[in-house]
Amino acid sequence: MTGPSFLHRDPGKPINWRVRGNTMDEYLLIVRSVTHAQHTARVLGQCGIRGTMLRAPTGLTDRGCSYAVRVRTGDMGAVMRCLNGAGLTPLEVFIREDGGYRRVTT
Amino acid sequence: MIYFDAAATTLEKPARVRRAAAWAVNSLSSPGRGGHAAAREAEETAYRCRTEAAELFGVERPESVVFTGNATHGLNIAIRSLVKPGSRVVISGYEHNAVTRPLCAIDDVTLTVVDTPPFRADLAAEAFERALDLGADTVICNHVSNVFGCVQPVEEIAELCRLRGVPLIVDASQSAGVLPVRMDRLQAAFIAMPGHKGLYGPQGTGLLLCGAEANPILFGGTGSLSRLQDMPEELPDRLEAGTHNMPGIAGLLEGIRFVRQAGPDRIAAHERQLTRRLAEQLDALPGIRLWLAEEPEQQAGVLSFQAEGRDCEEFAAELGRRGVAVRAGLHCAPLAHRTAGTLDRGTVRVSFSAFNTPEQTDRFVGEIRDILRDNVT
Repeated sequence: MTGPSFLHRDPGKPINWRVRGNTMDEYLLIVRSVTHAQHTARVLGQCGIRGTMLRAPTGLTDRGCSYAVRVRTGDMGAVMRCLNGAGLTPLEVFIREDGGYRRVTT
Repeated sequence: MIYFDAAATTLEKPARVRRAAAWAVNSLSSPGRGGHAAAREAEETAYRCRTEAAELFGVERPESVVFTGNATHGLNIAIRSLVKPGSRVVISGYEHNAVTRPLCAIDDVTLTVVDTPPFRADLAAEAFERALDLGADTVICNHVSNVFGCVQPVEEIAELCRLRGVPLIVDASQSAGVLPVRMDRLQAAFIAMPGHKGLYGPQGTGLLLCGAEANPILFGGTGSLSRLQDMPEELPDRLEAGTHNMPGIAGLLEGIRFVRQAGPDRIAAHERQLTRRLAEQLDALPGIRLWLAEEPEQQAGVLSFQAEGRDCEEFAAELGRRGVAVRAGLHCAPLAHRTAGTLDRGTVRVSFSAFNTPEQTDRFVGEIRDILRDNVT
């Protein structure tokens, strides 16, 4: 990689996701490309988890145009296990809070 | 017209290929370039095409299926990714200019050509092994010769490469859609193929199956990671700069579906049957020299011949005037002709698709007989 390094970010460290009972949270998984978004949504579907592909809100990433997969779940750990099982890792994960998004991976 | 030039392009396509391409012109915009319905529909079409190709060719992840403009484009990416100045490269004696010209464009490449006779897969495998033992950085081999239809022992060559840790590039231009082409079995670094031949897609389409790190030869917008001024590291975006050929991809998707439904094995059996039928009849004519495998499985649906005392191009032109499309000359593969000893004169090449019929081969033989009798050329 020879481009401007300030545009890159560590894709994220492992997080111990906690099951939140019946509470459904909305997450945005920022992924690498439209194809990765499609693959991610497809894999989640195979795990019985609905993922909706969308273009990522501009303010959420400093990489420029990005794609995201939105999931509503009370068990984000299950989502990540499903994706890891298929060799997929989101670049970043955000949770919807107070009308905005908060990054839950760094 | 009788069209016997499928090795260049399959002219007759399944009706759904034509419909899909026409639909895409007015319905699909650019995948990865917007959130609106036309972009989303394009994204879905492209993804389905990648997914179905991945299933057909044993590719683990659809991201590793890259759209190219043709096989030549894919081969250029593959060669530029692996071959550096000073590299030692082993190739078969039947490679197309799509392989040899990119290699000649790189400085100080040491080329070893495995120039065994056509239809001798056993000798080819042994010769590749000897060449590899002398040292190689990359091996490039076509699966089927576009001139003679001879099937190369790519699975054995792939095994030899695997054992020695040498990356392999497979040119599947004449085999994709007809013979088993499986990334999971070959574990090749790259497999390149056109979309417009045995996959029955429109011209301007191709696929590069990636099993190794690839370097782009085209740089530009991908609809992703836009602030980054390098091409993205991830496939397929790394190799797909610029707007996609969506009419082509939509048609290719339907072509792949046609092949999967018909079955590559059945298509291959049909083409081989036509090849043997034609060869038997041509062999009975005076002054015809054929390149025919003793064992049918060593030859795909491609048959080269010469007519004694006749110029190949003039012979093909006369066939064209009689409504038969074949290709003559060197077929962009002078190396193959050199290996087979036909570089001076070239050959007339007949090549079949799933849509050709035994009746067409019979009529073709009748035209040949007339040309020979009337001494037209």
